Amino acid sequence: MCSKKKKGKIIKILGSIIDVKFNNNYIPKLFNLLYVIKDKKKILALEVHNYLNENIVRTIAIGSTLNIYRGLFVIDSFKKIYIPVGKKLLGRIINVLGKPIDGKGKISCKEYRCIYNNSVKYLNLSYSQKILETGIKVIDLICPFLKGGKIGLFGGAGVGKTVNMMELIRNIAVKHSGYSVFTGVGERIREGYDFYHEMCSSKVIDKVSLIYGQMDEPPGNRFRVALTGLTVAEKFRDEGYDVLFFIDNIYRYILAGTEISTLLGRLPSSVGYQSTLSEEMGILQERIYSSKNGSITSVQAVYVPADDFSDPSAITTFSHLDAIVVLDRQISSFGIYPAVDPLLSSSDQLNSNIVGLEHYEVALGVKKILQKYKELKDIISILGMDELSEKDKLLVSRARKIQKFLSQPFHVSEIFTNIPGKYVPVKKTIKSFKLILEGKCDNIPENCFYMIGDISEIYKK
Amino acid sequence: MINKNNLKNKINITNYIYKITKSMENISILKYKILYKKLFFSNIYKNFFDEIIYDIDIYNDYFLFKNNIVLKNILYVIILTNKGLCGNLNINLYKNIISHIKNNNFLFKNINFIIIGKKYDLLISLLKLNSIKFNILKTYFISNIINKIKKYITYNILIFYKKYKYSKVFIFSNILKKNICKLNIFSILPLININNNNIKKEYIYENNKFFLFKKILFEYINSNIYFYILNNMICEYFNRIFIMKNSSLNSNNLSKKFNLSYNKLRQFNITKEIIEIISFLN
Repeated sequence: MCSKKKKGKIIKILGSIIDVKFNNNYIPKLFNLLYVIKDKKKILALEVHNYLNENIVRTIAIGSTLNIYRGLFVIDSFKKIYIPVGKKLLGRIINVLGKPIDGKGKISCKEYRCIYNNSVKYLNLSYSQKILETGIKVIDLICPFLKGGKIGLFGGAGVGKTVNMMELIRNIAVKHSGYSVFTGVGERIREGYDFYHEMCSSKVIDKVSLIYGQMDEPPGNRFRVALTGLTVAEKFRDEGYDVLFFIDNIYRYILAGTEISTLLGRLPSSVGYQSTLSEEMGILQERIYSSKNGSITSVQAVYVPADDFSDPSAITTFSHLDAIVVLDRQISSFGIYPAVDPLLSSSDQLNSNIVGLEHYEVALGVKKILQKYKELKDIISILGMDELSEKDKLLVSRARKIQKFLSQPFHVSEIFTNIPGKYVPVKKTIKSFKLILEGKCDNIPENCFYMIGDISEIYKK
Repeated sequence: MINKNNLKNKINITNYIYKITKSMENISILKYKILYKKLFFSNIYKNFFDEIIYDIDIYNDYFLFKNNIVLKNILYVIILTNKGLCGNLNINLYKNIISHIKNNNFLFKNINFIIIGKKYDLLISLLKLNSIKFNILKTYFISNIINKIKKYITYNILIFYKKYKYSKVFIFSNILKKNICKLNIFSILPLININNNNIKKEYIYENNKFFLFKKILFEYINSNIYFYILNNMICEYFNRIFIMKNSSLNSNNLSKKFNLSYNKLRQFNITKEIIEIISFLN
């Protein structure tokens, strides 16, 4: 039991902000976890954020402050947030404090880790620019993922964001025997529920651990849950696995930080964001790196407020991203899944020195032909195809074939489509697109290119 | 201080302008392509009558140009456009008409105009400004005249030519040569005898020379006017494609700039509100 000296009392409650006064000039360390005691039970966790006085600290509640009142006792845990890590978390859902919320009982892990870790030391960083093969044609060709890279995933509701994420999780699990960590930051509870059950039905749940800090939770939870997820991912990386780390949504992480900053009375920066915005983002993003043992590849769903790409939150996020995958509603309305827009999606790794000259040239060729097709679309809609020159007609037919060929049956959506999922290695992807660009598939009808794996499947048919 | 709503309205307006100009560009491309096919066949039609009229080689005094005759009347058949939005196509034509009148010492002659196309207001003002006395015989809209050239224009030209002896008829229009719009002045009447060496040609036609000449002359003028009207229309659409392309690009850029300003204003307003709250608290 904590000594009297290290006990405190709640003196002020302002939403999620709770001021605690300790006895005899004792003061806990910054970011230490405090517990509110009621009837000899720990009913709420608090995190120390500010020193107001010699013995008064300002804390953020990590949980609901519903039954909290002034005068309740608070004790110092003498440690920061520690969460269980390891393989026992696979297939489980935990909250920001590492407690299971899926009703499957306690998690008994051997190792516990603090969520505040330093980023990988320079000496342990992996410098090789390896590409992570995802088996999804459009991603591997147009916006290849870097092992240990950060990928921004843009897309509204209903464009296949979740399905894409699940397919990535499945492919990483099956082909690379890697694990995935999904962190729900400030998104809808329903989405988290759906995600869990869809993964159960597609049988990849045993390869993924889920950490949820959803919309209903106070800002303290939402702010720290990303770090909790990252700590779980770091453990897998250190064990030598290639980890996929999903954050849905990174903007909510920033928003939670803003709420905390405002509640603590800190001076805001432009557009009301916290003045430590780039530091907080840096703390999270700079921990996502490949070490010599394994890699963490992060896929982050990004919400852009008011579609304003000059918003400080968007600018701060973009500066960390290596690749951008844009999911387009119009493409999904054509029935082309994954609905990745090949013209808006990009990757820093699409460089001849990294992916090789052949891959680079094919990707550029595909982008060029699709760009030209986009320009011709307006003319086609008014004039019709007959008015185009023979050269343009050929270009349009190839572009349409490429557009159809960018679709791919997913393993996780086999239940809905009745088409067996396909994993396409990068080499086959490049070869297939090269054949289309060279005009060797000009005599094949464009419908044959829809929802297939690599080009050899057409010849088999 | 710019109002947020005003800026939003401006963004909407520029977006609409972008849509309109883009669709006008596409429509111009469509019309240009259709006219280009027509022009190809009209060129064959024109060349056919050109060849026959020079083959007949029967230029009586009436239709043959003689250097020693003093010209009294001038007729300009001017082909303009119905609409604007085609750059300096019409203005170039106006300037060249005036300089043509001045350079050829036609100032003291009886100058007449047959104008095809709506946009001739500025031409009239420019002629008046340069103290040129003129007479407008007829004006036509291109859309009304394109299928009735024979009935109206060719007929009127021949009436004029027969009525006023010793006159000259010019066609002023723009033509497209190697993707550049150029001004073209074509003297359609009197006919110029190209057979300067007086080499007698074998007459290969079945009909009587004079009968054929009467018939062919009408078709010759008709085909030429049709050819130049088509050429002028092609120039109009060719220019419009580029102008609309530029304006759609500009409106798109402007829309982007407005959007940026709007976003900055949005951000500024949020910052301002927060500063107000903080200063109130302090």
